[in-house]
Amino acid sequence: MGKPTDLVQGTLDLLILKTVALEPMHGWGIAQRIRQVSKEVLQVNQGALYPALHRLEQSGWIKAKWRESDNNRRAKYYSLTPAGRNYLEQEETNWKRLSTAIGLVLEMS
Amino acid sequence: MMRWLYKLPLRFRSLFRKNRVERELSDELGFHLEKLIEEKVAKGMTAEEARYAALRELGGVDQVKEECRDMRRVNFIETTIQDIRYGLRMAGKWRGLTTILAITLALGIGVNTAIFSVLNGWLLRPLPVRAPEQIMVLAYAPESKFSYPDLLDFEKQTDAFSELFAYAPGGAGFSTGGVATEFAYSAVTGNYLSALGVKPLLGRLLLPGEGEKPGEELLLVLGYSFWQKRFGGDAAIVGKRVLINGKPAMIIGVAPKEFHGTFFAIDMDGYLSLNAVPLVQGSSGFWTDRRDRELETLGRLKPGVSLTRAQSSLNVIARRLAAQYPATDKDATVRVIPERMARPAPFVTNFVAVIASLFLVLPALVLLLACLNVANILLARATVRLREMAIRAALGAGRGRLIRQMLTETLLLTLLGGIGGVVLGEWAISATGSMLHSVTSTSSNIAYRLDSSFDWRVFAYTLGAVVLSGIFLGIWPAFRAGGVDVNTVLHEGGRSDSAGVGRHGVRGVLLVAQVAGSLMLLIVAGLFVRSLERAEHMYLGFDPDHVLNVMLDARQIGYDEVHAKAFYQELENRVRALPGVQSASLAFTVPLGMPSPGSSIYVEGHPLPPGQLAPGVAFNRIDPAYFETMRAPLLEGRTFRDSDNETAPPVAIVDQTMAKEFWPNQDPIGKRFSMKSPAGPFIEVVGLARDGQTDWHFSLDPHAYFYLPLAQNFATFLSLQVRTTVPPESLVRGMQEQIRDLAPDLPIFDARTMQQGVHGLTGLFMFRLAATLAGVMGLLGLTLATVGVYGVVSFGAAQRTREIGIRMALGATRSNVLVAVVRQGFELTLIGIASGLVGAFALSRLLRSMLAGVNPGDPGTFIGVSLLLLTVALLASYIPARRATKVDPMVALRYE
Repeated sequence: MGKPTDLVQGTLDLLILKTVALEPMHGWGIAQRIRQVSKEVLQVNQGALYPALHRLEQSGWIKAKWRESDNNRRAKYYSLTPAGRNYLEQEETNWKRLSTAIGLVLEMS
Repeated sequence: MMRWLYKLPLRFRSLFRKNRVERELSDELGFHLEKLIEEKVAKGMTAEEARYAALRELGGVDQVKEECRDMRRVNFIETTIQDIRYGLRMAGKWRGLTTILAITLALGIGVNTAIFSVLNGWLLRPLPVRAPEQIMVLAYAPESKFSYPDLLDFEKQTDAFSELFAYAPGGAGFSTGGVATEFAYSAVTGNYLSALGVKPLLGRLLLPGEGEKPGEELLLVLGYSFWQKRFGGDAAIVGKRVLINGKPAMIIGVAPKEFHGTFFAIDMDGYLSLNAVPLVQGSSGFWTDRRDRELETLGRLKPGVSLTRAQSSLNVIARRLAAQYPATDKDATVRVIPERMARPAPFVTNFVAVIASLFLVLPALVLLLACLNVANILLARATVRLREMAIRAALGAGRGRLIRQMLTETLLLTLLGGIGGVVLGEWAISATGSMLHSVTSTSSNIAYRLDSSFDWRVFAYTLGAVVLSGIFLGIWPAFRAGGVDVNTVLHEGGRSDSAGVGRHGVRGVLLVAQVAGSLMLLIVAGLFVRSLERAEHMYLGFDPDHVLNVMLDARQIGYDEVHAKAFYQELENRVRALPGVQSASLAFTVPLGMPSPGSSIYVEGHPLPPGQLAPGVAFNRIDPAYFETMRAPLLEGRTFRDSDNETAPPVAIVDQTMAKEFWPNQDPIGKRFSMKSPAGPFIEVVGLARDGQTDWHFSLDPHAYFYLPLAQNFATFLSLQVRTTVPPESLVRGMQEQIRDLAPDLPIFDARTMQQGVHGLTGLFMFRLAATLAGVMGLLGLTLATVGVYGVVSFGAAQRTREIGIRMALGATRSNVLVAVVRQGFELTLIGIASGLVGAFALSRLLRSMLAGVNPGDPGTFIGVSLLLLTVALLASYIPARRATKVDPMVALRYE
């Protein structure tokens, strides 16, 4: 396992949206999930996570609810709004197009 | 768009529940921190080490919090509040200017609010009844009213209305405890009140079918104001009996305060059961005669039934009845009109809609002018404020942000103007209200109800005016501010006026529009004034000076014809003997008094073509002294004599129009006509009267009219005309005494001088009102245009100070400069006048029906008003121009 890669600018939103699309999750859980799923490659900068969550909430892509967490502690759970779901799809498509394009350029030669 | 559902509550939370949001933020981050510490402890760190490591990793809790707050702060509401604060600060800084601008706008908005309030009260406010949108007026043609048998047939056969109900308005004497007063009532079908959904304030209302059978007792529901006025709100009144025209009637209840009946603008004193029509009004054939059409009919539409379906359903019934009763209902049609569209009920006409729209166009024009004026000043100020805008832009304010800022400021300004406008408008309404009151209160005891009070419609209309003018005003300076080029402005030292569109700039264009608009207003005002003048100088057909007219109805105290005749004769004799009385006469009515009855006319020897209805002509019943007392000239023949009585052959006097219509190019004297049938009995024409006002309302064209001798055609409702050598009002008291002496219970229906009639509500008042309103608006327009011209010319001169200085230094004379400066304003004014003339020409076409025969393109008005405006504009530009000539070249060149 090498040093965790810093996130590419602007991809944090996409990762958050994708993660909460599966089930409502709190900030800590989101960070853990991204790390696990990316096999420890993607390390979310903890300081950037919460501003991003709040921005997404203010934009109406995600909504928040306070709930009991695993060990009886209250935590703020985020989930996707219908508008957020559309936005996520759109962003996913964009990302796929972008990564394919980058892949094409890199495979040149 | 769905996102708003999530965004909006968040915005409100961050604004109004700041503490809670902050606490949640702490909790959220605290939770994260603890998790992080737990993880690190699990990896083997000590609690202390884990805590530091976690804080480091998170990047400092407070920094993160601040960043989260930033995410929140991008907040529409907060910015708006900021903008408003800033706007208020700016308004405070430019206090004098803001005040002037707000007053200008208040004038513009006030005119609109006032006029709209009046129209709203008259035409828009729904009846205060249950589901008023279901209420329809059924207009019977050709006479607009239903007979009782027709009403029953329609009610039985229609499936579109849940109920049909009707009323017949009338006036009677209301007497209790020996005191008689005048009483305006509606005789109503039993279901009238319940179908409207009116709930009794006291006692009960009429029941469906009640009072619609011969022999039943007369029942009465009092109106709220009459109950208050006459009985001081006495609750024990229910169950009491009073006399209506001498007939006993039982009070069964009181109507609620907000209900005034369905007759336009009159607050009914009470609602009598329908048998009042035969009992009080004396229509003996009312229950069975299809020709006896007395009922103003309304219906409540069944829910879900469309207007078209209701109309076709009634068409079917009308055709059926026409086939069944060809003698009476052959040409009957019924039109369904939503109640509000049928106002002023029961006079169904679309004339009112024309007046209404006209009187919304004029104030809108005034507001436009006010806005143009303000826009002009704001534009000038925007130039001055360019520097400020540039600095804000340099400090990072975006273009959108600056535009919003400017729009907020102008909206604040118009809001201020709007508040002032509402105050002004309310004041204007009460002023016109008392003006109206002064003519109505003298003319009768009937309570007119012109409710122009403020409601949500007026509020919405005013707010609309405020917002529209705010945006209109803000948009230009806003985009200029938004488009500011930081470098140019900061370098030029804020002196530039880059508003240039052509030679004169945007301000020039605004000025042209202003002049054009005010010219239109002035021309409309001029036309209305001309029309008033013309109406005032029209030949009336009688001499209204020193004539008092007193209306009485002897039936109100139960007199029969014999009694009434004796009473009137005695009264006339006594009045003639009063000091100061020159002559006195009796007549059914006088011009501009009560409506005259009408009759079909069959000319002897001129049988009507089959299928054609006999033409109807209105007539009056007069005694031999009438023409002398009224000083109405007779052109030919003779007036009535005492010998024209019941035993003498029937005679008539016709007016010129009637003579022309029925006996064209012939001498009408000696000709005969009948009011009953082509076969007679015939009435012989013995006199020809000169055309004049004969109708109850002022009319511009003469009408066919005829007179019958009172002795041959008696009526218990009569008016007494008295020509006096003293002021006629002073005789009212003496006549009252005589009447009280002869018949103590008889109320005076109405007493007014003929001059009051001529200038009253149905006389010249409407012409005067229109002229006053249009005149006020024209003056406002003229003032605004003058200020506008002055402003533009002086601003232009101030900007050209340097140029003028150089010119004068190079040898230009004062008069050269004067001409140059004045010419700027003059050219713009000329263009404005030219375009205003075109607009006025179009606008005045709309007025045609309201101008007393004045040509809507009246050259005198058009030329006169144009010259007036031109002169005023010249004066307004001369003053700043003269100031410009006083420029000292040296000072001007050193300036800045």
